[in-house]
Amino acid sequence: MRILSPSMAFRSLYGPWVVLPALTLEGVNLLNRHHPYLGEGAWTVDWLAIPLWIIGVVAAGVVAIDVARLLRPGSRHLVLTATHRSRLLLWATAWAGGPLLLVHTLTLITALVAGRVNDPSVGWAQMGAAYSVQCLGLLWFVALGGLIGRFIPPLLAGPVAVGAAFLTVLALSGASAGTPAFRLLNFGGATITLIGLRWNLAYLGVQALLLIGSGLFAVLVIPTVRGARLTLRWPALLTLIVIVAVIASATRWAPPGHRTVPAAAAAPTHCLSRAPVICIYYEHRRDAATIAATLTRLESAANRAGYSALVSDRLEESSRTYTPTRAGTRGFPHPSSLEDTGTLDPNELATSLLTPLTCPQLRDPAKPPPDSYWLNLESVVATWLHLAGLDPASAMAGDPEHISDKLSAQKVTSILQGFAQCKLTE
Amino acid sequence: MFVRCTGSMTRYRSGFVLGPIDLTFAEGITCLVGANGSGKSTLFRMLAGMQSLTGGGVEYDDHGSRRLGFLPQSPELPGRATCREFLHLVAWVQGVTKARRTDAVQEALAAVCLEDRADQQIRELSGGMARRLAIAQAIVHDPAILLLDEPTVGLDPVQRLSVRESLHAAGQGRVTLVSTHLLEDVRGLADRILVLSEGAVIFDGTIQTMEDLVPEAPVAGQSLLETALTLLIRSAE
Repeated sequence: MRILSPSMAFRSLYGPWVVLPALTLEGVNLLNRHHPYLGEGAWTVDWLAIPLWIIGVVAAGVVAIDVARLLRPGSRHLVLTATHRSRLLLWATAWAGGPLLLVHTLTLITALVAGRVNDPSVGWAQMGAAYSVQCLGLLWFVALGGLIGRFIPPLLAGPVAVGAAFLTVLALSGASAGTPAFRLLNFGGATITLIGLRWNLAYLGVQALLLIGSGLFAVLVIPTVRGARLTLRWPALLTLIVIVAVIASATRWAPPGHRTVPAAAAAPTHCLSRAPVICIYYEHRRDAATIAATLTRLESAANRAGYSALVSDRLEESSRTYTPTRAGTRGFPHPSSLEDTGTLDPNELATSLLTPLTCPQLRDPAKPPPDSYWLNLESVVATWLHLAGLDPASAMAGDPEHISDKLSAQKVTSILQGFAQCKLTE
Repeated sequence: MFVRCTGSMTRYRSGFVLGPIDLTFAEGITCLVGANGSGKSTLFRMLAGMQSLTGGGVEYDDHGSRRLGFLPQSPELPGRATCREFLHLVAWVQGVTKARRTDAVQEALAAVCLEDRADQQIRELSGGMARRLAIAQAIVHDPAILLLDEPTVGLDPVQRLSVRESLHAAGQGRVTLVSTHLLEDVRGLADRILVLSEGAVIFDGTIQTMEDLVPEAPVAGQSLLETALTLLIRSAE
């Protein structure tokens, strides 16, 4: 008979059943928001981190109950007097953590296969590192639940572990991800493309070390009976205090920087042979037809109407680190409307193409461009949409007066020449 | 092989003190008798290493390894597992090698006459069978030291008899301690009796020497052993 036989584990423990909420949450997340991550390896891995904290909190509660049940007076001898004292608790913990890892791995494989990810720009090794840290995070929650279950009766262990896990999520996850501080439980959760970024391996390395160290302690520590209570021996208690202190102070000593950092700038390589040439990143090739159709419609309309300033030789998707600067080439980021709703907003695309991204004024939050810049931009975008037979009013939330008037070709040229020279203040 | 307590002592916050106890337990069945609250279960936990000592120590001579079987007073068994599955798990926890595990489980089931119930779910067993299974989990790894805390409590007379037979078979060839407050268990099992009262050992001997403590005929309605125990506990108070 195999000790790892699932039948006994499923009949004797609650832990393996955590696979059901995990499957549900991972499945819902997989299909959420028209699965915009599909095709992009890095984004897929990061996207799959979205439900991990909920799964972790639930798993911590369930494992705490299992471990507390195994340490009731009628069964604790199988831990406290056994030849291998940690085996029974490891068995219970593994039967919660193992299925969770399986579900997470299968979800990732499903997403990668469905997205036909075969050559991720970030590299398989980077993806593997980020995925491994996510798995360690899931196991860490399981270990946390087991640690709490060692000292609290089964009825209380579940709620206490859920509460404790939730508090650790609040304290140690990416709630304040805007700051470049280290967060032990920040496993990702990107809702926009990650092209142009790579993971900070030093950050992931410290995360992995802390998760493994503290997780192993939580899984292997054996309590002792003092009076009628289960407690820790002094060396174990001191170790626990040190671990908590190390984790709590990690924001001070861990390597500075975000979890993701800029990657080397790279131009998109998936180009469509049209006039103009349209290039997008290979990872976004499934959106190529949609984006190209709208771009071609805009460009053709401007060309026909003689608005030469709106016409480009080449249109390239930009990234966090790449913005096309060659003459005759305009850039546009991966449209957020596609990411959010699954349909492309022409206004967004036109605005992206006309926005002078290289101008420093647009990157200085302390000194934003004047209102006149925004009015000019909206007027030109509205003109372009008019030319393409698209209704700017339905697509734009601006002042109806200036988006209903079509600017002359000369005026558009003048405004765009100003943008090209970064003169945004006139 | 033996277990030796040297000045072993433990103290509860409630004020209850067990010990200091200086005893050596050798091969054979020793019954530990005493009223409720006399410290029997505490002494068992102390011997099993599950209770922190406030003084003294417990020494095990088991040829280098401490193979200990323990039956708690109210064993918690996984009701939805089968007897065989549960014993396999315990055997693994107790370090029985994979090659030996199936035989060890079969032998433990045979020792408590549960072979025909091996693949039955534990929740379907009667109280007596469940207690025999609990004994099987204590011996599945062939421990040198076996501690059985109130193994027959809560059972009807027929179940008690069958459990006692299992205990007798299980207790042979090892250091076996049985805690009980049922003197019929003592008569059927013990090579040696220890009487505990308010945390102290007040008698250590055989059934015969304990019965010899009764100077006259036993009290009406009591056996010689019961009268001896009553006398011992009263004199200790």
